[in-house]
Amino acid sequence: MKGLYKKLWLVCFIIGAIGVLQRLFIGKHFVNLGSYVTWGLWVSFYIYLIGLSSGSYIFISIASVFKLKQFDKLKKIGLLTSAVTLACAMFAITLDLGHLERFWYVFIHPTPSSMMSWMVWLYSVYFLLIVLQIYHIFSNHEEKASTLFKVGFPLAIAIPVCGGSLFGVVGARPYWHSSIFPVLFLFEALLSGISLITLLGIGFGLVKKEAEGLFDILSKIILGLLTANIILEGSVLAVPLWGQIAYHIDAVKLVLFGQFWWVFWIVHVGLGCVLPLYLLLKKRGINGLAWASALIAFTFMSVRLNIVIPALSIPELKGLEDAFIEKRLIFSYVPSLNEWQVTLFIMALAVGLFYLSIKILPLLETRRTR
Amino acid sequence: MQDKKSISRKDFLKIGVSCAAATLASGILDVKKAVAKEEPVSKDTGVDLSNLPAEIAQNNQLIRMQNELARALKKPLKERKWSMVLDLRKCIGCSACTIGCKSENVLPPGVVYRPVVDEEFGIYPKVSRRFTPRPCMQCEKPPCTPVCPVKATYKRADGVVVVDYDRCIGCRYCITACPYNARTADFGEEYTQGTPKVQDYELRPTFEYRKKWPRKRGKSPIGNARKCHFCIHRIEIGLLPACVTTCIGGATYFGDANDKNSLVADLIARPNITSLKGELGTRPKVYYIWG
Repeated sequence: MKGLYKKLWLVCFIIGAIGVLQRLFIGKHFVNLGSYVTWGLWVSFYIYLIGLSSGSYIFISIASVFKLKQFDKLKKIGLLTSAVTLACAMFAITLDLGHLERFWYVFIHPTPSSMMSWMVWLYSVYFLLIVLQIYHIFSNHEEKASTLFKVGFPLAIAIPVCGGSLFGVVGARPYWHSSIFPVLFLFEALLSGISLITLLGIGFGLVKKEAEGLFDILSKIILGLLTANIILEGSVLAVPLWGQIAYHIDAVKLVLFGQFWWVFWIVHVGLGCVLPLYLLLKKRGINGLAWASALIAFTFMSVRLNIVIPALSIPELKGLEDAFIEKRLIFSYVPSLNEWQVTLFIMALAVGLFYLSIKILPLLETRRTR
Repeated sequence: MQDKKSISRKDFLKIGVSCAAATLASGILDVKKAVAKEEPVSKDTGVDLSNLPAEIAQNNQLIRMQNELARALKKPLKERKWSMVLDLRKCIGCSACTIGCKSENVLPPGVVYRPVVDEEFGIYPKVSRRFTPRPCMQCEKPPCTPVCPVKATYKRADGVVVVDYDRCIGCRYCITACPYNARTADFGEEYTQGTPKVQDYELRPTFEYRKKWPRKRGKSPIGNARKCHFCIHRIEIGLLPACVTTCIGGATYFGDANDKNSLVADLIARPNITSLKGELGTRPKVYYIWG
């Protein structure tokens, strides 16, 4: 069975690597992005990974700052999850740049007016902090690690807030231009990040039903965050609909009733909200929590896709969609094979990095000592 | 008293003829003045217009705009305010401006600076169409510039919003921030790609921003955000933007709005002038005459 997984991983890695090589050596000929829908799968995947990273980190830093001992055993796995997902997010967004060789210009031409600048600066500090923390935590320098958690806690909160603001400040897109976006992104990051840690914790035997009430607490935290997210997302969608102004509801209608309605209703609402709610409320044991966490963590990509793409799929001027018709001047978008390949590569990379880390670092030490 | 009243017929005729002559003379002067305003300005533009019929040379708006352009270029950059007025009553929807722009700036597939929006109104048999060319609005308060993480796009002193191709990292955040969809991305493609030979005319360099940009893979402007820049590479050598000179309906006016005597200043001051999405407060420098 283990061998089969390894083979499957290798196949994914190779298929994905072909896509990455195409992107690096041929350019963006094979992407389906255009001048209007200019951000797509890669940007969505990037904010998904950033959410996982910051959500995981906020969770473990809260546990550290407020000395919640019952979560101590999840600290290492949480930190590693943050590091791996952050590295993969950086890789995804770098490949999306038109001139990836110029990414460092962000540091030499600082622009405080740009939310994107702030994000890059925050990521850089965050990445260094995580690397430093991994070193200290795996070297058993507990005191230094906990000091760094105090610095990292507000920083990790700032990351999803800044991510939400990156979209929220764009006044040209009514769907994004909402003051709730920074808050929404924070809650979404927490939900997806904690769900992933819970899943990994269960997978590695760190979370058990009997063990110190960790199972119960995590169930309740996820349930609470899921409820909060449903309310926040509901507000984002329902408030413009109630307003009845076409300019504000076009993108919302696209999410709910557009070509990709199933991404919202089946993947997100059905598999990402209703089913986990059922599993958590019915208290289906450790397996129920594992399934609920897995469903939330993995289907969360649908939320990211539904944030990025619909807002760009609405013409800013009526009639522009027919004004000059070319492949890259259309207001619809379906990711190309190359885009999926690159995404697959990044997923395989994340799994590979995580696996490698487990092999190298004493990640499961807590379990062994017990 | 008697002297004042007694005006002989001879005196009356003298006064009358003098007045008529004066009136005529002043009229002629006015006409001369008017003609002087419209006169082809070969000395300013360096273009020899002597072979043109007088009516064309005197009343041609292109020549007037070119004249005004030359006048504006004598002022410091920050005192110019390049503006465009589009008279939609005259636009026939031929898209010559779009193609003229494509050709001038060697724009690849997916990049268009000035599409023409074609709208249909009414129900048969009462129908009409409106054509709205949409260049970059060159906003006074552009929402696209502050979002750039590397300051690659900015508003020049003369109000033209430009992109520094050598600095742009291709994140396309500016594209999402434009409320007019006026920015596009260069994905490095050619129209004749996939044919036996990519044609040379597609690989010729563009001269945007007064610099030579050979079309080579991985080199700017490939990978950059691109936008209309009012053809500043032409303006600065005394030529009108390509879309103005190719507009066969004479619907596109261009000039320095800070020049009170310019054609665009005249048009902007009219009550039937409007701008796109004025409610956003972006204060476009592209104006429209709708009716």
